[in-house]
Amino acid sequence: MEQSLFFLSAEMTAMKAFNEKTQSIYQNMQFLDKKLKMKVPKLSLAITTHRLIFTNHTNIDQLNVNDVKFVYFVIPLQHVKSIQSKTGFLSSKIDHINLETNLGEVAIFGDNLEGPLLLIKGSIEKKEWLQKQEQQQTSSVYCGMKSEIMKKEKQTQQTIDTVQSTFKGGFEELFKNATELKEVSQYIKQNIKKGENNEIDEILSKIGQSRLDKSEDLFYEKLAEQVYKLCAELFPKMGGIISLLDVYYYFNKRRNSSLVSPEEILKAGLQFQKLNYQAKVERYDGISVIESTQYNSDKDYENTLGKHISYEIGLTAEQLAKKLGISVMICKIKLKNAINQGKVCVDNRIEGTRYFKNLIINI
Amino acid sequence: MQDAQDKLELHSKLLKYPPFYTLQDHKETRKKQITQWSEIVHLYFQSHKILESSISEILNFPIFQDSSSGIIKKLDSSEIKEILNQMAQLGSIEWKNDQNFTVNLVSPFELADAIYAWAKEKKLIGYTETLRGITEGSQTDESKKFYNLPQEQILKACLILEETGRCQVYEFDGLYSIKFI
Repeated sequence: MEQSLFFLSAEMTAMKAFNEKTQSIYQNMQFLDKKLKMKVPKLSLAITTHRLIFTNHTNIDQLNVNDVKFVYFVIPLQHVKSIQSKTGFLSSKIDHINLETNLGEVAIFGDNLEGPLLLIKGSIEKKEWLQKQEQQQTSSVYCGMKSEIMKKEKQTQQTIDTVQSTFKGGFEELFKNATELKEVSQYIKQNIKKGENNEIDEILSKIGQSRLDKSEDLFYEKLAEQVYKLCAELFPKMGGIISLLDVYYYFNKRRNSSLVSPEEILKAGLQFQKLNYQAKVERYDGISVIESTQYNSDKDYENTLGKHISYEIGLTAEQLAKKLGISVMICKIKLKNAINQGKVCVDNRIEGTRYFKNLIINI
Repeated sequence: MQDAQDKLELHSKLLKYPPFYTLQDHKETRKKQITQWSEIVHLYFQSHKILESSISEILNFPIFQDSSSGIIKKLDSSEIKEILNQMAQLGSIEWKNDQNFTVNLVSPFELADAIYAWAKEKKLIGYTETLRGITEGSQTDESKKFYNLPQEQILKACLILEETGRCQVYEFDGLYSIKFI
């Protein structure tokens, strides 16, 4: 048999390259060399990472080039310039695969060519023949300190490569999962009616998704409900006033993901009165707070500040805040309210500002 | 007397109250605070017989200082001026200029009543007396409120008497004489 142009002495055995792997073997394939105008039927096609091997040998691994009883054609994939699938005249099924190579054109015929086509394309894309085996240096070239340093550098580089590849894989995996989760939540949003399943609403809101319509007002109403619920829990502890900063902190700490911005908390707070919640947003000296509408400053003074200051004993705002377990900012707001009501007097000194019960007004 | 004693106790209590040395922002508290300061300062002027002074001089008066917390806390000049303005409104002092003032240990009305009462006692009704004779004359003594007071204050008091028809004031060459009616 005249030797095909695809016989290349370097690729004479099935597994020549150090990282070459057989991906699949297909039976009953026909090979057409367009240059020689030669069609060879009933061949097995082995698709590897590096080559296409056509043979009528029953066991490719035992194939030997010198064995003239068997046909043996090899197409190194690195020589393939283009690959095209051709369908039949009257059907959409693939009739044959055309490969244009550096040395000529070949066609592959067979049943069910979709699989081989995908594998060939995949192997051509991956280009694993480009990975060359590392040359091993003889240990006699470098010895002593130099070899130790080289070894350490190599280990460090390997670690870096491993870590980078882990992260790359890790992030890709992560985003893949997030995409799936997003698809699930989108599906629930669209296909299950609102109000049908409140448990789903609860779960979705915990992960920061909302089944509400996209209109802004409804979003802020829902957010206002959640913020008010938190404030109602905190009011007894904080004495009826909570700074917006504290609300932002506690709210997002609970949520853990899809955090809400301070502006959104403020907008939600501004909905309270409209929704008849027992809280409102107030501003004291440029500080925004959420205050309970049931907040009674007289009672609050008696229960908080009034218990710790007297005519003789004066405390700073920091000392009072510590005693009451509230932030200094809120303590100063309460003190200012008490001063405006004439309950507290201020003693301004170099050492600091202290607050006393008002003796002067009771004269 | 009891009132005077109570007042002294109150003043003592206030002077030991640290916020008393910081003028308060609360309106009602501030008004009461300045009134109390005016009384305390007036009594201090009386007890030390201070007839005239200035802001810079009284800044260092011990009553305006509190050392209860270790570092001395003083009222500053703007706060003292606010107190003196209140005293001027009540007639306790009179401003000579931006900084200096004279002290009326007794108010002009009080003085006018005291002078007329003395004139009646000494049977001077229908007679003429000089300003000096009223403050330092042989018929007056230390027990009188107007004893040794500046002549400007006596003149003011006499002008009040003239307004109320109890005397006539004559002036000749810068010298004044009073005829009690």
